[in-house]
Amino acid sequence: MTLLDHLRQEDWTPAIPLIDRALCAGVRIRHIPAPSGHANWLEEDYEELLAEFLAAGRGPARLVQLAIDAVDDQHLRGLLDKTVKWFLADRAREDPLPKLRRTLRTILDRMPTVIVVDTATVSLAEYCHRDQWGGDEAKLVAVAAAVTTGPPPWGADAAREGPPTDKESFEALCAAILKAAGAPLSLNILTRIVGKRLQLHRRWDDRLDDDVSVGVIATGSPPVSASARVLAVEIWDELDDQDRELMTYLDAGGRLAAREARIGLAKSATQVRLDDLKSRMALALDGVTDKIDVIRALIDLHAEWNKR
Amino acid sequence: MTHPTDLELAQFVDGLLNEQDADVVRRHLDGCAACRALVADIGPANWSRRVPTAAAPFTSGGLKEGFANVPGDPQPGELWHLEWEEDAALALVLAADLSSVHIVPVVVDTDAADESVVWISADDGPLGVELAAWVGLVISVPLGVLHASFGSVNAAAFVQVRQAAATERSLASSGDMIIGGYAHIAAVIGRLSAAKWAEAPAQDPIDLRKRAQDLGISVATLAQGLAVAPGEVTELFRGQRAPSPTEVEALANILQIDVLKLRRTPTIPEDMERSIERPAWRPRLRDRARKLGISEAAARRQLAVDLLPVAARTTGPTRGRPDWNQLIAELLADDG
Repeated sequence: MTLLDHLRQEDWTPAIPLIDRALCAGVRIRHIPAPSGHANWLEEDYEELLAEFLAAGRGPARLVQLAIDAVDDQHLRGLLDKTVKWFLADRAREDPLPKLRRTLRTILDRMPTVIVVDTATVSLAEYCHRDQWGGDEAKLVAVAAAVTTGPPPWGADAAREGPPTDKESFEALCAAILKAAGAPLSLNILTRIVGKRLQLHRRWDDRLDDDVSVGVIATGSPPVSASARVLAVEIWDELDDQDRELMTYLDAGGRLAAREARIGLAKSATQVRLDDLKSRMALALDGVTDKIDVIRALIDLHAEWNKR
Repeated sequence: MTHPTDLELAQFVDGLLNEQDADVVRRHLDGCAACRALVADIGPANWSRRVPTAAAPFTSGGLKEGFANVPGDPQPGELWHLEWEEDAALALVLAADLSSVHIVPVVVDTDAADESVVWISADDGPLGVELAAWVGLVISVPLGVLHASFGSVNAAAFVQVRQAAATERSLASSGDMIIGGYAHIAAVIGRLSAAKWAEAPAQDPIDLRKRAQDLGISVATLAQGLAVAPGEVTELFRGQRAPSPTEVEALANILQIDVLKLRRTPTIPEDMERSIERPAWRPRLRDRARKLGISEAAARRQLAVDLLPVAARTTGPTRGRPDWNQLIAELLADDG
């Protein structure tokens, strides 16, 4: 009798150890913080986590859904893995950092000097303009720490919740960080840096969230300057269709680009094209003062081209 | 790309997978930067020695009974389990005809449900848990994907779902429906609605008469070898009837032909196909598929091919319509 047969007989007992192990692995791989501020997970923490997973309400529904959706034991294990991830993500969303991230997203949406872009565009713009902060979060943390329009001090419940703050101080923090970066940041990176300024330490794994694909980019005052637009068009005109297709994979390797960009080249040939494109882009942008505007104009051109 | 589960990754890191599974994970890691990052950043081992003591949370009997019983034919208002190859789902039957069933997909774990679902309370459904019916996703599925019946939902709840489904359908047809949270269940239901039998392998027909002549085997000798009348051999030569499984074996042996080449792919009558697709046969068809080491889809086609000569022998090619259900029952009973 398979495990799935047991579930379909409403005999849940054989599945409990597997669920327990899946939860332990999820905690370990996703760096889920121990409850109530423990340094490490204790046996009773895992016991509570399992009980929460199985608790009345969602617990039975989870198990019945597994019994319904799975077609064999291997499939069941895959579905259980997803269910555990969603369960852990739901818990993690109640932590301070994800709450902060949602707040930041709202604030950024209203800031006129910020645009929100998708991952592909982030990849393009990050590559073209990464020299200023170079991926070193410590630099940005230092900038954030120096912002004087600060959030008020921590309250008595600081270990559990982020300190109350206001829109102006958040905007000042974000603006300073984005200006220092001079390049797009993923919302997760921005949240981590603001979180450090607020002394909110990492308490969960970004990868558990659905919303990691969003990036934010600080811009000059829109619209893009005419000179930047002219330069962007010049660069754009030098590119052929394969280059344009590959523009969003500048950060990625040839393997990914060959698979997703669908330019009809094998992995190694794609890598050669990518390397060539990178050096041409670097050359074209070398010494340009309003790089951000040029990149924004390139992003716009790429978006228009994609629509066609 | 299918990634290893978190559990597999953690067990891989600790050397707890068997050689074969470890090799699969290793090969995946070679090509997947995301999983490599997870493994590189993994926390300390936390395998516990304790035996989890959580109580089994739930028994309603509805699930168990549904999966244990041999199902009848679907009726409106019944909750069914659909399953075909790598997809499975729960569905509420709105209407059923001889070959297809009009359904609304239903979910139990309602995390992804939004305001467009119709809720069926635990007391109104047969599973003892709350259900959410995706009324914007009404679709027809072939009878053959129906797997297990859990009984009916409360009549009032069914009416509510049916009315909401009719409204949502008109929205969908006007192109205004927003798919959004439907995506996963829509994909599964879409694949289930497209389920079909295994394609018959294409092959050129073999000229049995010529083969017999080439080997110098007379009709009478062949009839003796097949234990049939000479007239039936002529019918086989002319393709007027398909050979039975036993006759296929004997023909292959006598005429020195690969047995697989003799398994012809005759046209399956629609009424026979509908009969084979009835949910009641699924348990025994699955047993048959397991025994033969083939897919359920292939087992259905095989059953159809096996049924044709039995029907021809029982009723003759022109003598009335065969009772396929009876013939299927007899043939499957022969399987033991």
